[in-house]
Order: sequence, then C-alpha cells, then structure tokens
Amino acid sequence: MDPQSSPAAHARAPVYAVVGNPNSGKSTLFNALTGLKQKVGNYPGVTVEKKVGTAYSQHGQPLTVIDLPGTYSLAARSPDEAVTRDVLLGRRSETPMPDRILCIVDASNLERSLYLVHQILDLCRPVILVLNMMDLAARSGLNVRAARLEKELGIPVIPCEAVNGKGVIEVKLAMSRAELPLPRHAWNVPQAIASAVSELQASLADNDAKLPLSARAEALLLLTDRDSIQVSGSTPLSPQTAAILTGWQRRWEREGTDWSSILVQARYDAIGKLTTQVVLRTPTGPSASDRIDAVVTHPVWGWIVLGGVMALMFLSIFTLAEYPMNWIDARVAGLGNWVRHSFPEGALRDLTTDGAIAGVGSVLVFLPQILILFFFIGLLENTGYMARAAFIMDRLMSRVGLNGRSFIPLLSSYACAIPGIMATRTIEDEKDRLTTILVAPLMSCSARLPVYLMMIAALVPGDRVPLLTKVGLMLLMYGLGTVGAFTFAWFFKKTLLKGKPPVMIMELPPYRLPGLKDVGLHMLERAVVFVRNAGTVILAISIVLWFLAAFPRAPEGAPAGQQLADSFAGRAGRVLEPALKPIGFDWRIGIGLISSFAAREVFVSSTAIVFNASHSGKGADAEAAPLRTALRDARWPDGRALFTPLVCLVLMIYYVFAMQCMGTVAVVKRETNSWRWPAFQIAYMTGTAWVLSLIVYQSGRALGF
Amino acid sequence: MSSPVQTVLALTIVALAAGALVWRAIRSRRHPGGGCSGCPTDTFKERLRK
Repeated sequence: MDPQSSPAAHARAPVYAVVGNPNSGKSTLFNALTGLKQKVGNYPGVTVEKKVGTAYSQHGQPLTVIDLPGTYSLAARSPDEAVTRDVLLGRRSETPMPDRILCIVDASNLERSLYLVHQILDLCRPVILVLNMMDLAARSGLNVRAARLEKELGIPVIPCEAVNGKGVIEVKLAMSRAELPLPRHAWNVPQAIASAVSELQASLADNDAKLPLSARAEALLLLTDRDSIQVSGSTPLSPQTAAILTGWQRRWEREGTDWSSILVQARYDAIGKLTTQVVLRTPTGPSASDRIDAVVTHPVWGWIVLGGVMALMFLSIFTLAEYPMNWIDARVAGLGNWVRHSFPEGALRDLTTDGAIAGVGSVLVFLPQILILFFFIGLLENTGYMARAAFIMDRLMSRVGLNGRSFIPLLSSYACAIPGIMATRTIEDEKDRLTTILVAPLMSCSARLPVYLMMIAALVPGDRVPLLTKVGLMLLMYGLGTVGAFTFAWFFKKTLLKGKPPVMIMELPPYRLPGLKDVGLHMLERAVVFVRNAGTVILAISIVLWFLAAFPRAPEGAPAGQQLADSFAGRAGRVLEPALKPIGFDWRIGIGLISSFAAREVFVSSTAIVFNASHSGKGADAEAAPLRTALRDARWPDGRALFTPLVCLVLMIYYVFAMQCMGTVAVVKRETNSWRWPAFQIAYMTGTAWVLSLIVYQSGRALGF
Repeated sequence: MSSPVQTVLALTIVALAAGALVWRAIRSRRHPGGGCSGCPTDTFKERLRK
C-alpha cells in the first residue's frame, strides 16, 4: 500500500523522516526546517536521540519532521542506527511510520552517501533527495548535476547549502507538494541471489505481515549482513522466513558463494554507474582542508596543535573572565553586606547572607569561565577541528583497546558525563560500550571547573597567581583525567571486559567557518542551565547546609568556630575525618565532600558556607570575607595551615577521580539497567581518588611540602 | 522583626528547601540527567515539549 494514499496519512499531518549519513548536515537542515534549535556539531554521530519538530508547508499546513540518527547503511550495527532502520520500516510502535523520507546527502562525497539512498529507494516510498554542501563539492572540483540525478532516480533532487540557508525554501516547497512520485529505481539484483530475494519477499509478505512494497527491501536487508538476527532487529522472523533464509545461506556456504559481498558489490556497481553520469570532475590540487589536515593530524605536530589549542582555551578562561568575575564577586559581596547591615540580627538574616547569598554567589562567580569553556567547545565542534582531535586521539585510544566510537562520548564528557554516557548508545559492542560508560566520568567535566579554579586560587600564596601556573595546573588536571580514563579503559579491556580489538573508520568533515549563531546558542543554553542550577539545586543545598552548620545553636559566648564544630554538619564531617586525615583533609572539607555528591560545584558553595562560618563568626559588624582569605586563614587545631599548596593539589586530584555526581550515577543505572555497574563505578573511582590522594599527600609531606 | 520570628521563618525556609531537594531526587530517579551544570538534556526536553 502506498503510504501517500492511506487514509491515516491524510487524516494527520504528513510525517517526514530526515535521514542521512552522520555529518551530512541533517541536524542543520532539521533546525532550518523546524526552527527548533538543536546542538549542531561538526563531527560524525552527533545525533543520538530521536528529535521531532514541526515545519510548515507553503500553505501553512503543519508537517511533522523526525530527525533520525545518522547511519551509513540500513543494515544497522549500533543501537542508534537500529532506531533509524526500525522507524523507516514502521517497526517502532511509539513513532509513526514516516509517510515521506527526506534524504540528505553530502554532495562532496556523493558516491559514499548514495549507498544509504540506494537502500532507502528500495523501500518504494516517496523520497526527496537533498544534495547538501554543494558549495564544498564545487570547491573540490565536482559538478553535481541535480537535474540529471532527478531524471535517473525519478524523485525530486534539491541542491542545498543548509548551513547558509540556501535551498531550504526549495526543500520546503518540495515537502509541500500534495503528491510525490515514487522512485524509479531499477537495479539488477545479482543472479546468484535473485531467487532467494523473491522467495524471502513472498514469505515476508505472507508470513511476517510485511507490506508488499517494503518486503523486498527487508529481504535485501536480510541478505546484506551475515548476522541476519541483528538485521531483523527487534521483530523476530517467522519460522517459515527464517527457514528459507537459513536454507539459502547453507546452500551458498556449500557452494562457496559470498552472498553478502555480492549484494554490496552490486549496489556499489549501480551507484558507480550513476555517479559517472551525474558527477563531472575537474581535477584540482590538494584542498585547503587537506593542507591543514597534513599538520593537525600529523603524529607529532597534531599533538602540539592539540596542546596549543587546549592551552589557548585555558589561557582565555583565566584572562578574559577576570573582569566579569570580579564584577559578579563585588555585586555578591555588596548584596551580602547590604542585607547584613539592613536587617536585624537573627536566624533569617544569617540564612540569607551566610547560606543563600554566600552559597549561590560563590558558584555564580564562575559563570564567565564556564561560558568561555563552552564558547571554545562550540567553536571547535563547528569548525570541524573536533573530528581531527578525535582522529589523533584514536591512535591512543585504539592502543588501550577503546573503540573509535568511544571518542564522542568521552569528548562530550568534558562538558558533562551525563550526555556523554547517553551518547555511548552509538557503540555497537556491549563490552566497549560498558568500558566507555565506566571511564567517561573521569574526563574533567565543567562542574569540576569551579573546584579547580577555587583550589588554584587558594594554592599559590600571594594575590597574583602567575598565569602560566594556572594554565599549567588546569592542563595537568584535564590531562590527568584523560590519562586516568585511558588507563582504566585499558585495564578493563584486559580484565573484566575482554573483547576483540576495535576497528576505526572515521570521516574528517571539511573545515568550515564557525556559525557564530550556533556557538552563541550553545553558550546561552549552558548559561541558562548553569544559572538555573545555581538558583535551584545549589540554593536549596546552601540553605539546608546553612541549617546543618548553624544548628544546634552553640551557647552564648562560645568561641568562633565552636558553633560549626558542634553543628549537625560538623558532627557528620567528624565521622569522616579518620578516613580523610591521611590525605590531608579535615572534617570541614569532609562536609564539602559529602554535600558535593549532589553536584561537584556544590563543593564551592559548601566551602563558602563552612569556612566563612568558622572564619568570620557572627555579629552585625562582620563583613563577608573573600573566600580565598577564609581558606588561607583556615587552620588545624594545632595551628598549622589547612589549605597548604599540597592539600589544594590533593583536593584537585581527588576531584579528578572521585565519583561525586548523583546525576551520573542515575544515568549509569538507567543505561546499564543494573545497580551493579554504578556501584562498581563509585567504588573504583572514589577508591582510586583516595589512594592517589594518599600517595601524593604522603609523598609531598615526606619531601617537606 | 524579633529573633524568634526570624528563627521560625528561617526553619520554614530550610524545611521547604529540604522538601524541594527530596522531591527533585525522587523525580530524577524517573528522569535521570537533569541538574548538572554542563548537561543540556533538560533544555532540549523542555523545548521539545513547547
């Protein structure tokens, strides 16, 4: 049955599925069509989750658009590719079977992109083909003749530059057409397997309730891969179809026929013939992208460039953020002092100044640095450099047994481990996926940034910390997390999760000028999340922590610091102190460690509350002390300084390795469907954090630091 | 404002904050992924709802 003519298709808004190879510009086109902005990355595999939006036809009729995960073939190998295949074949109950398919291809790489198109045309459904990146194709000396392709395939073919908005109106016009022609798609299934295709097609239609038109496509898919169970996916084959398939496979094996390769080769032959007719090539020398790649993917220069980019990023974080940070700091301190002087003494005033303002303010100060971090991440993704970084990192990753597909989850984890762990769905091998999930939280996420920055500020005596020291320490922390992740991945792959060595196929997209709108949007999004988090979770934790640090009340006239020591928080911290003392932490730091299990940046607000409480004491004349001063004045009972440079360094190392994030634990539980793995992750990460802290602290002490 | 009134008000706010945290913890068991400063999941979900 033609989906166009089904009554259901007319009753509701037509459903379009956007399909294409990873990095073909699907997300950009989807944004342009629906106005629903997503994160637009520039490395393969950015789309993991299903995304739905509404576009409007030229007559104002709503059109539902589903953005499907990128795939190179319908013979899915990973969970996200399986989603694409299953949605297109109408196998997913929660998603309507698309009425029409918007297939987007990279015109500068047409031959490779047409493999997926070829499989989609087999589905015998209305397809619009969008030739994206026509500008890049032209620059590479390729003249892609859209009209000729349209004539050959019998479907609308639209040249487009989605990133500049060129051709988007034409795509919308094509989508607005009441009727779309079905593809004229004739290709010769090789003689050796043609009979098997016919038999399977008939059985799929009769015994598996497949639509007659898609039964042929499903039969071809079953013969594309040796692992037919994987291809048939969530819907098992009927016994009759399975018997036919096994019968043919046995026969071919006896005859020594490589049926899978024959089919793939036949497709490529048909595609090769088509591209010769459609693409005219003008010989050109190496492109600018090629020349840049010769340096940035070089085994030696590549690492130097990567190190330089990272150093530049941290340098900007420290230098550019200084003025806005001081401004926020002064406003927060001013607000605290104003409340302190304007309101009568009492618990409510203390809660406002020492709890809410001190807690939220201490975290908000880091907003400019977080924004600069995300500006750089957005810029690197948008220009195409991230894929190069992935390429050079892959050499290292494959040595430790990590799959090339682990790079994107690990890279996302620099922002936050939660989307990173969710992105592991693109990894087909279960053991590789689990290894990546286990090590992803070791990459230094943006929530650690405030902790590192606070410790770096407290670490070096004097008001001016040398810039190079700051940058060097930041690089050290990020490097330590990355090396830790790779070391543990290697260890897990050798012991717990042994598996086959991975194969890496990676596409390097051409360099592009960054879309500043996308980068700005990316930053704005993170700013909103950060500020909302500070105004909700961190505010609530700060208020509760203030209560725990201020009650039960110490008797009148008790010395400053006595209140905190006898409080609920003080008692809880002291329970931990025996475990913390060997690594140089006291019970007050223990309070910060406990509370920051909610989110790592809470450590900063807790420290502000706990140390300002023990530092400034109470009274109408007390001023909000800068946190750095309070930390430097903090002492052990015997008068030794608490935050020595060694302790600050140990604290940073502890935060690099410790599993201090409830959100990540919840996501790992969901993704692994068991409490066993998150429990193991907490144990190994926090255990490592403690052992490394112990080694560094005790060695440092022995060396006289 | 007298000191006892301030104490009552402060403790009420603390109770509300603690309640909000508990509620959020229960909610995040159903929808893990929210809350971290770097995580875009929440914003995307909200946009999709709109």
